[in-house]
Order: sequence, then C-alpha cells, then structure tokens
Amino acid sequence: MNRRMKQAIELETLHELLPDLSYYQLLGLELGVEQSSIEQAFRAEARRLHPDRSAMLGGPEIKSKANAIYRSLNEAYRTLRDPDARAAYDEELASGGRRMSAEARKEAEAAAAAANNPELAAKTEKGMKYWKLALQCWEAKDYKGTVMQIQFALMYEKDNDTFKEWLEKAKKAKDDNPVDDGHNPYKLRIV
Amino acid sequence: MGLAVGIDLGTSNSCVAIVKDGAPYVIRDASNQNTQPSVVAFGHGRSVVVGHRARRQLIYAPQNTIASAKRLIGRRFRNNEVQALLPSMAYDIIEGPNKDVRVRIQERMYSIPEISAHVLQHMRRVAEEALGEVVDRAVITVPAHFNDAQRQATRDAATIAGLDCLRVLNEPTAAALAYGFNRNHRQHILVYDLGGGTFDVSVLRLDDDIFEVISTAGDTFLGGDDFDHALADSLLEMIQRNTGTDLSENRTARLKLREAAERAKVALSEAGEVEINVPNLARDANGEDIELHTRINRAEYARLVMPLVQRTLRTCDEALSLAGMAASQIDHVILVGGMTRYPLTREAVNQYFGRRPFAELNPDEVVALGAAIQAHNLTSIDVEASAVLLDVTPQSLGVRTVGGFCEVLIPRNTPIPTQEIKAFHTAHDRQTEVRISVYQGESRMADDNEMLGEFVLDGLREAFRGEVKVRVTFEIDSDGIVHVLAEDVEHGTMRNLRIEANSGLSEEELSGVRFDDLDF
Repeated sequence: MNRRMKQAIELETLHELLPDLSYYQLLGLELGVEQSSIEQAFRAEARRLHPDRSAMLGGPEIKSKANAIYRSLNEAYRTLRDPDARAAYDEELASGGRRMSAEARKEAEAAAAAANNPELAAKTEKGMKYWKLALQCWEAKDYKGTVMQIQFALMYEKDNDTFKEWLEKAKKAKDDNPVDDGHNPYKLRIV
Repeated sequence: MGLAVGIDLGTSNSCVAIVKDGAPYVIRDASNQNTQPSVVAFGHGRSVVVGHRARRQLIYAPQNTIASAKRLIGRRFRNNEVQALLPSMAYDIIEGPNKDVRVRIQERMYSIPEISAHVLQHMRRVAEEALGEVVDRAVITVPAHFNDAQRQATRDAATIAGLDCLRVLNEPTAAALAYGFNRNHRQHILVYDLGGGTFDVSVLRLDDDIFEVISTAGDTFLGGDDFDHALADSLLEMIQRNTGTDLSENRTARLKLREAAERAKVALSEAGEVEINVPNLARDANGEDIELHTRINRAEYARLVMPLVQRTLRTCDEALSLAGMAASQIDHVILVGGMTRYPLTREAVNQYFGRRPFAELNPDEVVALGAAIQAHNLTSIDVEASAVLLDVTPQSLGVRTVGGFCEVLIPRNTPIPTQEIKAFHTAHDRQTEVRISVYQGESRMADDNEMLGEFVLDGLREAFRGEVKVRVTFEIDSDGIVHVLAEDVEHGTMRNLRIEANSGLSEEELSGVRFDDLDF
C-alpha cells in the first residue's frame, strides 16, 4: 500500500472517530499530562494532519474531512493550552462530555481573564479611584505617575499585595526609563 | 493542468515567482524587470494596458489610469478611510450597487476586483511568456490584516482573471516561508512589512518545517502612499502660502506633486538634501504659470513623516504584546515591502529592536517567493517534503447584540481553519425571523467595527419567545474567508450563507465579468 493511500485511509478513519475522541485523544495525550507537552503534541499533530498536507490527495470530500479534523485539533489546542479552560474541560470530561461548548469555554476564558485583570484588585472605592489612574499612567508609559498614584491608593488599602507588587514594578520601570524631553516614546535618530 | 505560481499582488507593484528544481525564483519580463507596476490604463475603445506601459500613462491621462486599486478593494464606499482617500484620487470613484467602491472610466463602471484582475492577468502573461507554458493556478498574497471582504474580493479578482486561486496567503507569512524554507531554523522572527498602501507585523515561531504565526497586527491604510501624500500636502500648503493659489481641487496638480514627492523620497535615500522642481504645475487667477522650486533635507522629511513611522512602531508593540513577547526575544527581524529600503524606516526598526534587521532578502521579491513555495506545497504530490503554515485570523469575528454591542465569537489570532457554533433564540413572541449581523474588528461597539454582512433567517415557527432555536456555525477557512451555515434546530433545515455584497460583486455579476476569453 502506498503512502498516499495510507494517508487517505487514516483521514477517513480519524474523521469517523472524531465525535468520540476527547481533546486528549485527539492530541495523542494522556489525561494528566504536563502542561508543557501540550504545545509540542499540537505541533506534531498539526505537521501530520494539517489540511495542506492532503491538498493533492483527492476531491472536495476528503478536503472537507481533513478540514474538520484540523478544526477539532485547533479546538482541542485552544482549550488545553489554557490551564483554566483545561480544568473546566477536565470536569466536563469527567461527567461524560467530549467537547467543550463555546459558551463553557468562553466562561472559563472570562474567569481566567478576570483573575489576570489587575483592575479588579482594589477593594475600596477610593483605592479603586487611584488604582485606575495608576493603571492608566502605566498604559501611557508614565511610570513616575504610576508610582505616585499607587502610593495614593496604598493610603486607603495599606495591605493590598497587588498594589505593593505593582509599586515595585513601577519603581523599577521608572528607573529604567528616565523621562526625556519630548513625549515621543520612540526615540529616532535622523541619519 | 498548467503551472502554479505565486503572485504578490501589491499596492504599487506586483511580482510573480515559481518553484523550479526545488528552489523559488522570480520571473522577469521581456525587459528583465522583476516587478510590474500595479497600474491599469484604459485607452480608447476596450484597449487596456497594465504594468510599466500603464505607469507611463499615469501622468498624462490620470483620469483613465488606475493606480493603488488595492487600497479600495473589498471596502465599502462609505468607509471613512475610502472617504479620506477620495480627494487625492485622480479618477472618478463612485458608490456601487452593493455599497462597494466602483471607478468610472469613460462612462463605464468597473468594480475594484475587475481592476485587480487586469493586474493578475498581466502577471500571468509575464509568467507564461517567460516559461513558455500555460499558467492557470496561483497562490495570491494579501496583507495579513485584510478582512473577509478584502480577501473575498481578491479571490474574485483571480476568478475574473481565469486563475484558480489555490490560497489567499498572508504577505508576512509568505515572507517568513521564503526566509525559513529549507533552512531548518528554530527561532522566533518578526516580519515588518511596510508596502505601498498597507502595513503588517507578524510574529512567527519557526521550528524546522513548521511555520506558526503567533500573532499578527496591522494597519490596512498605512503605506508608502501615505508618505508621499504627507510631503505632497505640505508642498500644497507651501504653494498656497507663497502664491495665494489653492490647488487642492486641481487633480493634475496634485498628481504632479505626488510624483515629485515620491521622487524626493527615493532621492533622499541616497542624498542628504534634494531639490524639488515642478514646472507648469497650474495657472493662477491671472493666467500666470505656477512653478515649484524648493529643497528638502532628510531631517525635514523625517519630521514630516515621523507620525507615520511611529504608527508602525505602535503596531509592533501590539503584535509583541499579543504574542506575550518582548522585542529582545525576537531572533530575527525580516523587512518586507519597498518602503523598508529607506534609511528612515531601517533606522527606526534598528532602534526599536536594538539590532540590525535581516537584510539578505530582496524586500520587493520575498513575498512572491514565499507564495511560490506555498503554491508548490499545495500542488506537489510529495507531501512529506513540504513545509506547513499554521496561520491565524487577524481580526476578531463577532455578531451584533442588543444595545449595539459586538459579541466576539472567534477572537483574533485564533489558528485557522476554525469554527464556532452559536445558538440564537427568538426574542419576542411569534417572532418568525432572526436577523444576524456579522462584524470583524476589535471594538466593543458593533458600529466601530467593519460590517461583513447581514442575513435573515425567516420562516421560523410562531411560538413564545425563546422557544425557537437557530444554530449558526461560523467558519473561517484557510484563506481567512468567513462562511456561515445556519440550521433551524426544530426543522433540521440547513442553509449555507455566503456573506456577500461587501466584496463588491454578487455571484451573478461575478459570472458575468469573467474575461478569460476577452481580447485586449
């Protein structure tokens, strides 16, 4: 049997099994696998199963199957590479689900985003006010302003660890980025 | 079956390449030119010329000569950026039947895909003459930041030109492929692609034969044209100050100033200071000739265009932050596009990344070379030897929700092909149709994003609100083109919807304008 036929049969079989495969099985991984090996597995499978690989294999039917397989592979990768989404998926898997619905994945992604969102770090109204100003200064690369605003915020929330952490970060950024005369963040030398 | 080539369909210039004996090379025309101006000139009757000959007509018959059509492709006429461009265009631009952009030449209307099709046809002829064989398939490149409508319109242009479009490939990805092909790199690279009318930045991870796009960001309305406009506008102001004559409505004068601005830009890459002389620019109120004689040096020019250069660096910031990387983690910076030849842009990139960019590739050719490699990959039987491109979608895809918000279904930088399924419920009792508007862009407000299209699902069962459910599948294919499939869950009826009207040509029009048999 030649390689092209083998490849075609592999695609057919995989496509038939697709609804029953978990994201882990799709990527050829064990359930409790380390986070770091997920990316590697995706790349190996992508190399093998990317639809461009089968571009010359046959007509539109085999193309659409190859596409469906790769889309599932992408879906699996998007879910498993994000530890929060992966945890949510593991729960769903335990209760018999194979796929993660779009809504469920979005919820998990939103929860992860909230955890990483520094805007939610303030606990008091006044603290929040200065904290927001501090983050705006940070966005604008005004590190001196950031330090000042965090110090104000700390007056209202003395024990806020996130504030303290960011104060150190802002102080360091301030020292690393001495203010120059212009307001141009990119200094260009004319030759 | 004929040969498959790669075509870089550029704003100012286009380039065609092919893989032969395992290596890509650029196909030159009979006068040994490696690129062709993307200019289409209409003569009397139905005669059309493209390329270098058309470029020469630009100055004496500007109203019949179309340059930079790529800036208009797949855009709505009412689009702010199109409106901003209107005063500087020498030809007539009007709103088409599908709210798209059309040009009017000698009382005939042309869609933008038709104009681009002439350029593609020309590139095909150049290739066929040089190779002595039929060329009927091509990978065609587009800016990474192009949206669905712009990609669809580019595909339509290929169809009109009688070419089978194997793939719509992102320009920075193509450049990366040309850079890393057969070199077995393991590194992170950033492609800085500043062309005639568009700007893209892509961050890629190269791992042997896998080219994975990690992030991409861009500006489809920023390029060399804007550098020329900036200088031309300042010359216009200077003339008004010195002579009191306002030439901003004078198309020929504006075009001459633009040409002068472009010449000055080119000359400044060699010299520190250059003269700008434009005789017979126009006549003032007394019938006296207005001429322009002035000088500009590098520092003055740099001050003029610095806001544009800074916009490119902000886009680099964006791409790096999307990739979660710092500039220092990039192993190589690849420069693409004619604008990266200039010391000004090179210096800006140098300083931003703190290193010299990789300069061994010809920035005018590298995209076409990459496209040729991909064309070879997609048509060769020996799949084991080919590289795999893992590309992403450049803009978030979403639908309009109550209150005018945009709900994102597929976020930008998601690997493609991909799909997302969303359930829609009726919102009122006895509602029999659901209207769905699809958008691309990053704003939370739908109206600030680009609307791709709108469709209505009708014939739903009359019931209480929320009872009837419609399941809609949004798919983005390998070309970055969006497909929508709607399914009435109750009846199990499926409907395949092409998001149309925005690319400019409806299905019917498209079949009507194919010109593979037309004689030029």
